[in-house]
Amino acid sequence: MVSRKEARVVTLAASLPAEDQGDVGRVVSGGKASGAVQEGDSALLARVAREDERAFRSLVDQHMSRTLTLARRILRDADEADDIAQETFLRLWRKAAGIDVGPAGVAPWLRQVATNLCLDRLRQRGRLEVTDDLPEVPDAPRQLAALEARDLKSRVDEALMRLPERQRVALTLFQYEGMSMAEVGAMMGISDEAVESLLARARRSLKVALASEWNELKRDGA
Amino acid sequence: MSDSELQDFRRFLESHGADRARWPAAERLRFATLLSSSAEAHRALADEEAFDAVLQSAPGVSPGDAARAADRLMARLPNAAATNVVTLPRAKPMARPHARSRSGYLEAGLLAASLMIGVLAGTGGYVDTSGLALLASNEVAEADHGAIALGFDETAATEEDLL
Repeated sequence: MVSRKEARVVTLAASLPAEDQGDVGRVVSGGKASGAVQEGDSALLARVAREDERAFRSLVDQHMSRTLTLARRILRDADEADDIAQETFLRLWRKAAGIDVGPAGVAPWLRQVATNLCLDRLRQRGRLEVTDDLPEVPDAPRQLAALEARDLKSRVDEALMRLPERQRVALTLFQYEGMSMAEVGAMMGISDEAVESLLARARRSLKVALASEWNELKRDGA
Repeated sequence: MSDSELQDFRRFLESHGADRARWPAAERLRFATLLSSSAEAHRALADEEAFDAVLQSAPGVSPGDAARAADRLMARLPNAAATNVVTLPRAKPMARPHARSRSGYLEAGLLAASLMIGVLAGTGGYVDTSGLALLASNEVAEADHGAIALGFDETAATEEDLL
């Protein structure tokens, strides 16, 4: 029997686009991939190495949405995110022959390249250091009042965008990309403990910003 | 179960979230006993699950945006392919020596042919060489060498005349 909370979670997931529903399942399952993914990506990559544009288009269609979403979450800028996604896939096109595909297919390679490009972009602008000094907890009552009229997705998105840079990067990689704390730390050049701290601060801020939604779900489950 | 253990559990949830599949093995083992015996721990986990569900509702890129980005990328692809060809190291040593040696032979052949024609024309009397004889007799040497060399025109007014 499905509990009220489970039903609510299912409803939340069902309200998302198909690709996002896939993301929900992927994170819950810990990002494990089937052998079919690897096999498919390997074959496509081999064709891309021979400059087969149809094979490349197939990989782009499979992975563009996720790469673009990752870049938008980190950079908070649709145009910059688009640049990063384009560059990531152009590198895939140029370097296809030298890419080793693991059990999860080409997705981890794309994620790593896109993340590094995003972090480079943030460092170039000095945003990574500067914005980390912002207050940890936003002005919750004012923020909630401004957000009341909007739907859940917009509110979550806006709350994520208001997080300080490093917190948002850590949360994006851990929560949405399914990376381990060690992987996030290696990517950001910080210790596991620092990642843990960033994640805890990010989640505390979001709990304040999204208190009404969270409380609603908690009530459903009570 | 102690209060400090419950506090540790709450702190752990704050950073790691409620998905037990993603917890480190040591913490999964450590908190298993707590979860089996504490209603409060269970409630804390349930709350964190609810919060994870809220986070998971964050929107992704729309299919339309992704498709447009893919189209833009494919439109850039021929340029990327052209760049590849230029940067391939094998392109330079393969093409140039071959082309250079061919054009070199052609130039040498043309030079040899024109030399032969010149020699044959000169020795066969097909060319009027009286002009050369005139030069050899130094008649031209009567002219003012300096004026010719500097391009002076004696009929033209100088700057000093104008002043």
